[in-house]
Amino acid sequence: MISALSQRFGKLSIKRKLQGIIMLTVTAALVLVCAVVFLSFRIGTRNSMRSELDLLVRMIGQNSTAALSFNDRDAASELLQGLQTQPAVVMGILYSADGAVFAHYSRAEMEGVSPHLAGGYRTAFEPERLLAYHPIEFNGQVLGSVYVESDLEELHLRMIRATEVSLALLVCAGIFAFFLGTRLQRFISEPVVHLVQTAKAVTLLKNYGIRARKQTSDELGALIDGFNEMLAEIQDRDHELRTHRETLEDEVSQRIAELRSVNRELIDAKNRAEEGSRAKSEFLANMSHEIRTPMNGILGMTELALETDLTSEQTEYLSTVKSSADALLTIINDILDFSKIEAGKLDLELIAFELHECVGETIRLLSLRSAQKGVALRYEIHPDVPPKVVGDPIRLRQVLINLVGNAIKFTEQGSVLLNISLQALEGESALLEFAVHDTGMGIPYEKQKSIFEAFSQADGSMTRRFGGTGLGLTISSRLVAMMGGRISVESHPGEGSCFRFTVRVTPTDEPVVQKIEAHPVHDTNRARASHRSSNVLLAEDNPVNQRLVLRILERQGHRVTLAVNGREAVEAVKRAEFDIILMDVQMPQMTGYEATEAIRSCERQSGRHIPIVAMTAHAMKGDREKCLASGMDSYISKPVSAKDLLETLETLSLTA
Amino acid sequence: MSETANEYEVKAAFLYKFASFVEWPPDSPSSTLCIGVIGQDPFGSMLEGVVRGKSINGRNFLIRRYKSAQDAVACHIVFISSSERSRLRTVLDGLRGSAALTVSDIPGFCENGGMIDFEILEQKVRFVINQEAAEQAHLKLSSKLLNVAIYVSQGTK
Repeated sequence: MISALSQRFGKLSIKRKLQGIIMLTVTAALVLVCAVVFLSFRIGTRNSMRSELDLLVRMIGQNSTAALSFNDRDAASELLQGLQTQPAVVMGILYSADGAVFAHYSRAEMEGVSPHLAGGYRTAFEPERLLAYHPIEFNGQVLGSVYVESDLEELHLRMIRATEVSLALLVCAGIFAFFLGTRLQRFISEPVVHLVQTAKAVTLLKNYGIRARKQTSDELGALIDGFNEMLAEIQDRDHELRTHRETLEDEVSQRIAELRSVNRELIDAKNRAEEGSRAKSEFLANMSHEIRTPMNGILGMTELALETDLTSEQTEYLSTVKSSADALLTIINDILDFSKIEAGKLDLELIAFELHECVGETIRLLSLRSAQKGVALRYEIHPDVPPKVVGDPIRLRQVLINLVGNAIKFTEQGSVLLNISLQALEGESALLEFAVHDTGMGIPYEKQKSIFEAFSQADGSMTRRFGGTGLGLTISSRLVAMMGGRISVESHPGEGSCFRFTVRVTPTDEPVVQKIEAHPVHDTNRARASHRSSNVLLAEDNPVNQRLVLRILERQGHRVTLAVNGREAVEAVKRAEFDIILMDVQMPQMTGYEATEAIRSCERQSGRHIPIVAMTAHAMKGDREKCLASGMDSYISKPVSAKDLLETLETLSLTA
Repeated sequence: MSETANEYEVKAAFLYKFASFVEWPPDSPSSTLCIGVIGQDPFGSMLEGVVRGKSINGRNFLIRRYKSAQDAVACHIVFISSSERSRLRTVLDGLRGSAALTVSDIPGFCENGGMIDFEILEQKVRFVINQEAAEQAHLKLSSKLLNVAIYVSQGTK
């Protein structure tokens, strides 16, 4: 109850609270005062009534002495009739000394009511009456007694009047206090309300420059002072913050500008670096081209020379030239591959191919060399191994050629075995393991760790004795890593070695689309056996290459038309019919790509399709894609070997 | 007779009670209050009976009986018996100049210069007062006494 009241009180405004407090206090004080005044008035009234009655009775006593003394009832009655002037008195009785009624007076309506003598002489308030009963003594003698009784009408009336007056006073004083309190409470509530309004305004307008007005120098004044000081403090802080923020913004924009300029510099540096890298790649490609073109001549001419009638001495010399040139080509290819891998320029292809075919061809290619050495070469493919996979067949073959070739190279007698098995099938991909066992000389234990690092053939003498750059294993190791596998070696000197590597491929059922091999490896004899005469257009600007290719083809009975640049080639195609076109890529006036595109656009009207084979020393990545994109059907890389060239011609003329 | 006896008993008591309502001049004797009877005493021993043991303001009562008025001048209250009817004027003249309250039941007492005259009214003893006579004798009669009198003849002043 009290807590509910105080809760309601707590919700009131300070103005109402002050009014409430004032009214409550005033009312309480007034009620208290009225009660005290009323009580004292009542007591005073009763006392005065009593003493009046007392006096009246005494006077009657005094005045009745003679009547009593001389037994004059008439006089006594007359005396008592005087009580009529006292309206409150209801009865008066004089008793003689012997207790008999001497004289009697009573108000009309009180006739027959008996007096209350029991209780003796007294002046007392009794319920509903005030009475006085006293003896009459005169000169030491009791003459009789007098009894007077009055009702309390008068008292009641007076009390009612007093109550009315009290209430009226209470109301008047309350109203007066209300108005006075309403006016006076402003001294306290107004500064507080003003403070609240100021605080609201500050919050609403976010203006910390607003100040509360100080009206008094009491605690409220101190409160307003404190509030204003706080506002000033906030304003200062605000100002500081704003200044700080502005400085910060300046700093930030300055930093951003700096960053931008640094960024520009970085972009410039990056562009310059990329430019440099491109130039380097370009340089490598050019070098490759520049080196291969003369190599082409050397190799082709040597082959041609070897087929003429020679003395045994000449044959031996030329054979040495050929093998040296082969070795040199291998070394150049290795170095180019290695530098491409190191530069991160080597990207793997992802094409579907027949694993059996790829491995079988590689083995067939190498079986020639093993047969020459008298080393048995076998391969086994576990039946679990998926027949068709997606991967890079060219790079896989490169690793196989390297490892199996090495095995053959370092095995004097015995056998080389290639074992292919499925090591793991993880979701979409399969991990294939290739193991190359040989019965060769083995690798010393201390060399086994560093064997895959660049330029670290087991012994410096190895290079001298067996040739090679020693980059083969390093390149293989990098290629295997790129194909998601690992390479390792296990070897006991004198007993043989086992090189294992794994490759991650994706088994597939897709048909193998790329039928034409970049490096067709077929038995030259078989190609020769199925040979037929074709009409060939050769577009080649280099005279050495012209002569080389011309001789190779004419020896096979093909008719060759020569064009020295792209434009001549296009014109030749317009003039005559050809079974096949051999197109050098880099030619003056019109490149091989442009010529191919021109020929293909002509063919779109005629509906014909002449197979075009690119001849390029651009052994760089993207060459093959460029060739195919410009409309060529295949390509062979320079230096052109008779074997490759004839094989390609054979394949294309068959499919054409 | 018993009625007469009763009448004089009341009159005796009245004589005694009058003392309470009268104020005598200061020069009158104050040691005792003397009630004198002139002429044939009708009270017998009643007066003595009434005042026995009584006193007013510490003054005891003294009852005396006199033959002539000259003897009774020192009394405070003098009752003149009906036996003195024929010589009333003489008796009253004899008391003139004294401070005695003269009381009698002789008819026409007050008209003859007496102060209080007993009368029988409705078989009750009442009295008439001649205030003029009392004032001449420098007696102050209480208003209460005057109130209970049948009749008061006012002083002529």
